[in-house]
Amino acid sequence: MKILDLFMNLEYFKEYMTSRIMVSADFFFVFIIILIILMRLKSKTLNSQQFENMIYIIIIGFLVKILILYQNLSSGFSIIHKITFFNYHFLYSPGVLYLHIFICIIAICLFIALLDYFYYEKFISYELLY
Amino acid sequence: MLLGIEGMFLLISANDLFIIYIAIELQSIALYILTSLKRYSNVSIEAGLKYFIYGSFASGMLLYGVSLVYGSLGTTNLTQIYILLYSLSIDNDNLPLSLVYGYVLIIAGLFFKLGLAPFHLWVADVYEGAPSIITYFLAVLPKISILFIFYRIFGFALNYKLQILQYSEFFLFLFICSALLSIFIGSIGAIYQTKIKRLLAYSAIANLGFILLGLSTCSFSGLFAALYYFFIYILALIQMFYILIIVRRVNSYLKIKNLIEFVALSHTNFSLSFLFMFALLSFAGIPPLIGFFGKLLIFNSLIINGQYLLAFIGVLFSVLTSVYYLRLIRFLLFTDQVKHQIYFLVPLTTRQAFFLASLSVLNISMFFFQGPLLLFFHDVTYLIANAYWLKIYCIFHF
Repeated sequence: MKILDLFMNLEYFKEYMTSRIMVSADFFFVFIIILIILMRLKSKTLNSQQFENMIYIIIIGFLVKILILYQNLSSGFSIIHKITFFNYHFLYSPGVLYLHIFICIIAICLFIALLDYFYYEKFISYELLY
Repeated sequence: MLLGIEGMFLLISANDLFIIYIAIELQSIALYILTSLKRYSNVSIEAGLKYFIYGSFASGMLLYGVSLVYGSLGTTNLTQIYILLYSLSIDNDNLPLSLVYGYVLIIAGLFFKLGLAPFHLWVADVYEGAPSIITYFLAVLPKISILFIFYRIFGFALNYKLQILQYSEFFLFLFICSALLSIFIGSIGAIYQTKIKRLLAYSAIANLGFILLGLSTCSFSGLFAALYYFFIYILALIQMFYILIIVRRVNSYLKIKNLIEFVALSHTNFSLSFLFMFALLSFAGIPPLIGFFGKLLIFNSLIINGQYLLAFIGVLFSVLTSVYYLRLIRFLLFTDQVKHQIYFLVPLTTRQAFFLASLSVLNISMFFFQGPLLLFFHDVTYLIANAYWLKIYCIFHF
């Protein structure tokens, strides 16, 4: 009955779905971790190109999450509605969404630096070898 | 690294003390492993082990604090805890002793994770021992989530809309003491450091002390200043760590570690040393860089709230902190070459140059275009401060 009510009220449903997508965006990263483990199992050692590609996928993942969060914020995300869904263990207020975006931006900077970190590790090893 | 970031996302959305504990553990376990990433380096293993032992002790204190709060109030849900504290404050002027102990233990656990004095002992060793990229991760990301959750748990003392006056005094006193001690230790400790990562560790302790001082004013202006200061601090830190990561010597396995080695930077890549100087000056709070406004807002909020002595001490230590940044600038730009130094550094790629230039332009341009940024932070501060107030308001009225 509750699910039926949810589908009857479209606005309600839209808000419900966007918040679910927002949570699932977090689990996107878990999916990436599984992907990394699978790639590692398949090829035993990751070459630098595979590693770079993986970092690019992660950066795109963060950008997608920022877009979802921004869509939530611009569509009038309101705590009064969210109280129905996340009133116990989690709280998604607009302030929290801004913090999510902030963490995503810093994480992107971190992964760009990671790209360079491994570039230099590789470069220096090359220098030492030849 | 992704699991650590996932832990941070969970942490800032958590509304229950147990979820908070689990999220902190998820974040911390990822960090312990990352710190000892260099398996063949004794320093890295030592740092990882130290971080793990100290961190486990802090997690234990946090969990004990949570159990005491649960024992006193019968719930771990933060919304319900607020409501119970409000009802309790009507009849009682003092908090039950078990609840005070519980909150003090939670403070100890969170301060340890933040690296605030007197729980700062691990910071310098871990920063130094961890690989540079992990130090960057440690210095920036966990602090955002833990500071926010700290503000949420102690909303009854720090949030100007939720404050319960008779309960907040004791906790505010603890926060101010810790902030002043952090600023003192961070400022004095950094002067004697000869290694860049240790210097950044002490600088982090001092800067977090300033942020806590802003939060302890328990006002809108204080929260606004703390948020703004934190944003600026992180921006300068990103710039500084990025330079540290990309600056390597050719024909040498060693990266630049000691302050004296920065002499090489200005002789091989002057523009890079110039950008590094920008980040340092921003840290020191010297105009026309954005760091100046961060410190200005913190002192302004202290003065507005009548805490003149704290403002005076803050300014005094702010001058002291600028000494070690200026010392590094002396090594960067005003010291002659030393014979045994290796002066050939790896040249920058286009991507690195672009990323660094963007950060520096942001650092300078934000000083001149303060209006939109201040407005944005004003809105964000309002949203963060109001989140719980709105929620409790809704529970009472629907």
